[in-house]
Parts: sequence; C-alpha cells; structure tokens
Amino acid sequence: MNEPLELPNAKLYLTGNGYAPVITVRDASGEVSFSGPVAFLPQDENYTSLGVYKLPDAKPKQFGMIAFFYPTAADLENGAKSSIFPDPINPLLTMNVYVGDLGLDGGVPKNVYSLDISEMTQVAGGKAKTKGIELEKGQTANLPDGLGSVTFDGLKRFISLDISYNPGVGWILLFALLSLGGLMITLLVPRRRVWVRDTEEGFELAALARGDDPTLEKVLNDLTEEIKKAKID
Amino acid sequence: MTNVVLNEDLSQISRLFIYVAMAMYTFGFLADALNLSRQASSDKDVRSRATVTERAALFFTFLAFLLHAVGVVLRAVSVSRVPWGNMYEFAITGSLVIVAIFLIARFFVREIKFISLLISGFALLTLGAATTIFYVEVASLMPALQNYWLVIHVSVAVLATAFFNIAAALSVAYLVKSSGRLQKSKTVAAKALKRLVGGFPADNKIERLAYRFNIIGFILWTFTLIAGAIWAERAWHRYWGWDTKEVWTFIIWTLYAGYLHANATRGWSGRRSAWLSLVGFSAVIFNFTIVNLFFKGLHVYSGL
Repeated sequence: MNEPLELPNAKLYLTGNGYAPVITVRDASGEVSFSGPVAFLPQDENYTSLGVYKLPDAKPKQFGMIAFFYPTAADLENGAKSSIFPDPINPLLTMNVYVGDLGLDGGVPKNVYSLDISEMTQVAGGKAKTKGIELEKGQTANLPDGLGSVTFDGLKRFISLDISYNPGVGWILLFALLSLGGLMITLLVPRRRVWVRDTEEGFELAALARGDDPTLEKVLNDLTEEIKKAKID
Repeated sequence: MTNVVLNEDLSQISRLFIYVAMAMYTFGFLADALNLSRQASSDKDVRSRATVTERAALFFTFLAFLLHAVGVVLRAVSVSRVPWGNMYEFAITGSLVIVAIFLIARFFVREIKFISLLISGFALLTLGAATTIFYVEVASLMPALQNYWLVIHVSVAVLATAFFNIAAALSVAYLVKSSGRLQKSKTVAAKALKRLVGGFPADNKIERLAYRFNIIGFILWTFTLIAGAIWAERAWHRYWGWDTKEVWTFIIWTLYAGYLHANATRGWSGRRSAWLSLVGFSAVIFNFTIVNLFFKGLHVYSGL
C-alpha cells in the first residue's frame, strides 16, 4: 500500500479495502427483492466491518438493516462479538432490522453507509422482541414482521482506488529544495565586506560583517599579514 | 514484507537498561546541581578549573548515555527495525540524541557545559515519561509506516528536536543571566543566583551559541517538512493535507522563522528572540505530547 502504481502520466493509489458480504433477501412469497454484495467499512485492524442494506422495493413494506461483519468472529467477555483475525476463517454476519421510511423517495441523495433510523422502528435486535439476526456463510434466517427471509450467500472483497494526476508536484519539490538550499546558504555562509585603501602612509584595511561573524577578525588579520608580506617582497 | 521477529523479553531487558540509565542521569543531575550550588555559594573563582563535582557530573552523564544507548539498541533489536515507530521509542531515541549532541558539542565548545544540568534533567524527565506513560509492548509497524521514508523523515526530525532542545536550554540560561530584575534585586537568593550566572559565559556568547543551535535545528526541521511531504505524497496520495501533525510542524517552522527574523531585527534580538526560541521549543513539545495523544489525525502512532 505504501508505493503507488505508476501509470503513464498518473499514479494509482490503493486507499482502502474491505469485505462485501453477498446476501439475498426474499419476501414472504419467496420472490427475490434484493441480491448482491454491499461494501462494508472496516472499523478495526481485524476488519470488524459495518455496513447498511437498504431495501426500498421490499414487499410488503420497505426496510433497512444495519449489519456487522466479522471475518473471524469470537465472543468477548462482555457478550459482544468481535473479529479476532482479518482473514475470513469464521465469517459471521449480524443484522438489526428496521422498518419504516428509508427516506430514499424524497429525491435527496443519501449516504449508502449509514441508515437514518429517526423515521424507522427496530423489529430485530436491540430492544425489539425478535433477536438480531446472526448468519454464518450459507445460512438463511427468517425476518420478523412478515418481511420474508435473508440468506448469507458468500463473500466478496473490495478495494478503493485513487487515481491522481498532479503535474505540479515535481516543480513544488524543485522549488522547496531550492529554498532549502537558499536557506542553508543564508544561514551558514557569513556575509562580510573587506576594504583595502591605498593611501600615502600605506594600506588601510577595514571589514564589516552583517550580523554575527566570529571569524571576521581572523580574516582581516590574515589579509593584513599577506599584504605586509607582499610589500616586503 | 519480510518476517518480523518480535522479542518482548529483550525489550524488557532494554527497559532495565533505561531504568539504570535514569538512575545514572539522576546522579549526573545531582552532581551538576551540587556543582552549580558551590559556584553560587562561594565568591571564589571556582570555574577556572574542572572541579570534582563537575567531573563527577560528566562521568555519570556519560555513563548514563552509554547505558541509555544500549537500551535503545536492544529495543531496536527486539522489534527488528529502527527504534522510532511509536511514542515510547521516539522518546528514548530522541533523548539519547539530545545527550549525544550535547556531549559532542561539549567537546568542541567547552563553555556549553554550564547547561549540563538542564540537559541531564530533560533526559531524565523524558525517560521518566517514556517508561511510565508511553511504554508499549513490542509490535510490528502499522502498514503506513513500513517504508524507508520512516528512516529519513523521523531521524532528521529527531535531530532537529535535539538541536532545538539545546538551543532552548541556552535561551533559558540567557534569560536568567540577562534578567534586569535579577540585577536590581537585593535578596539573598538573588545574590546567590547572580554569583551562579556569573560563572556562565558572557551574554552575547550564550545568545550566539543558542542562535547557532537554532539555525541548524531550523535547517533540519525544514528538511523534515519536505521529506514528510514527499512521503505523504507516496503514502497518502497528497503531499499536504492539513493533517494536525502537518499543521503543527508548519506552526513550529513559522515560529522559528520568526525567531530568525527577530535575530536579524534591531530591537528584537536579545531577550525577545530568546523568548521566541522558548515559544518555538514549547510548540515542539506540544506537538510531541498533546498533539500525539489527544488530537485526531493521520500521524497517530503513539500506540497508546
């Protein structure tokens, strides 16, 4: 994941991955109202994943499910479930079922990863009379309230990719490094001026530094010595 | 990915070395304090030659440094990688580098020994916090960190922090020494403190030393920022994303840029720029502690 794939003129990044459990929902008469995979968002490093199923066309009424997927399910001491390994060794799908208005008919786009339950009633799981649905791979369970049945058919994986094209990065790097170079020269190379004036009595030397310059005196003394020597020669 | 061998037992041995190093730093710290208090209590010129307490302080600090280094190396071996993958490792490595740079600087610029109390004290404090609050068991790196940029980006950040730290210690000494209130005060404590700072190098000498450490720190920090951006471009598909750590790194950069400007500006050099140096270093500490532990962002590597 740490190196992007170099494409011609662009880079392809892997930005995420996860599981997409495949389920089939049948209504009371056995007719399929939903079938297919839904991408679940991983919640921890062992891929305990959260996903939402929305079934606006289910008969007799529309409903939704908030589901957790555990690739390798295990019971915690407090009775809750958790995934203890990222690979699907003991996959488990648990679902809470809500009936009511999914809010999809208003024409306003909705987040596919969350279910707005403010207009809905929970019929399975939590405080509802029916317990939440727990399915191992291949199992089928009946839905409460005459909603039909749900089957956990299988498992697919998904990845999320990001393709980016930024012609400016090379230039930005170039200019950043140039400013770093400039910075180093400014801070580390002392700026000084040295004058030598040829007068009647001989040479006059002077030096001026900008800011702190501990070697200024030495430079001036060395130069004086050199001029003295040159004069003698 | 190559097989990573983790060895928690070895890490415990490493921790033991760190504890012993802490004890030695404590001795060094106490000897330093004793040395300074002797300077403060006697009018005699005791600073001309290395006194017994001063040599003892150097001995213990050096011994502590060696033990500390063994501790860091053992930790690196126990996790089979560079020893700066989480907060604990960053703290023990960072404080080791601070002491190392101080000991090297002490060799070249003898006068710098007068801040040894602050350096051993800081190393002690960092190790104390590291072993008690930040300690985490050995673990492999999270995927985003498994990259050679971890070696480049973080090692330079550690170096920059070390230089900033020594400069901050020098700024503290400078502020105490050049304090106008201290010069005017007639209390016994003030007199003792005045004798103490009398043993320090001249004001402008301390200021210049602090400036030199800060400019090296600043150059290294700029490099950290650029290297971080390159790494971010590869790992997170953008070179700058206003992540909390990115923002704070930039804030610190700006504060030290302000310090450099203050130094070049008449009327702002001296005490004001020394304060800026301290503000900059507190931002570094804030970035390492508070931002790591309490802010949400992509740089969440504390492992806590």
